[in-house]
Amino acid sequence: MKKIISTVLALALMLSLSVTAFASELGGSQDVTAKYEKTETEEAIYNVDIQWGELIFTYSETTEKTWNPDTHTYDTDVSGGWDKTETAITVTNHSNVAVDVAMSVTPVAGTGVNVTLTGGNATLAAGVEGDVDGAASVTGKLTISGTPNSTVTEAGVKVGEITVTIE
Amino acid sequence: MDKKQTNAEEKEKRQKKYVLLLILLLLLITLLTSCTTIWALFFRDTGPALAPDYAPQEMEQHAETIPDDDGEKLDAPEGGSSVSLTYSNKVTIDLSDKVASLYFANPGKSNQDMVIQISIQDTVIIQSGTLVPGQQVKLLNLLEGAEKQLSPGGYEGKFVVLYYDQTSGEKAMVNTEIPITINVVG
Repeated sequence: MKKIISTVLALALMLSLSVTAFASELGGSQDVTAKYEKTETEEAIYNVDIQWGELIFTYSETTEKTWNPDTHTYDTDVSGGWDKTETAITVTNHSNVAVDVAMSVTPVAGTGVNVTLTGGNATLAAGVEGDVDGAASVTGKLTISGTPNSTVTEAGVKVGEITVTIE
Repeated sequence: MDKKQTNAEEKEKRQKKYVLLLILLLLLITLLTSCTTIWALFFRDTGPALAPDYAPQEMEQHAETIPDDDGEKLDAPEGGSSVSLTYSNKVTIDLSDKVASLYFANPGKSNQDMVIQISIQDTVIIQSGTLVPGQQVKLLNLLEGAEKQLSPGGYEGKFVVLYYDQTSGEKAMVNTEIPITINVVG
């Protein structure tokens, strides 16, 4: 009985091996097909330029002393002013996506100097292909005022820090 | 007589119990103190890294030259400066390797050196060395111990970019913050 089963199984195995050969001989043909699929990925590339003007502001103070012969003392006249009161910070977007720009200034307290920043908040459009010079930009204006107290030295002290946030 | 003896024994037992409790309490205090000391010495978070006022002497060890960067400088107003930043806002941190995979470049057209910090919830976990114009990074090391403050998952963080004068090394009064998404993997 075992012999019969083994023979049948061996026969079945042999026959199944020859199936492929038959298929070929029967003349079945398959076309070779080429397909073209185009996938374009546009990864966000962020590139921004930040430009700022001179951030050193000098306050000059002049004291004029005039001798008063009647009182034998000096009459003093103090005048002072900043060499400039404004500077600009500009952000330009060269990314292929839009960016939100926000500018802020954190003044250092106790110097007698007021530092403020106006403008500089905007959504800058994505760059346009081939138009580098037309890149969207925004400018903030930093203004300085007040009279520096004794904490402000000739060597200069920090009176504020500007943060440009790009989102 | 027996009653007196029993009372004395009970009293002695109670005293022994109190002594034992006292010893246990002292042992507990000693253990707590030791644990606190060990934590303070070896595991305490030393706080966020402070932004250096002068550019670090060390160049960033993972910095590489940006290919095909012509290095043509941006125009800068008199006394002012110009910088350019190229980056991806996605960062992956591998806790086992203690590194972050990212893309950040200081293109050759910049006029300032840069130092990048990555912070999560105002805690600085990464601070690069100096990146001169024309350099980029794709990998940065975590600050020592930072991996202990993180666990796998997503975080909202930010790049803080600090600028330094190339001649004096002084930090500029302008810095940049860029919100980023951080994926932490084990």
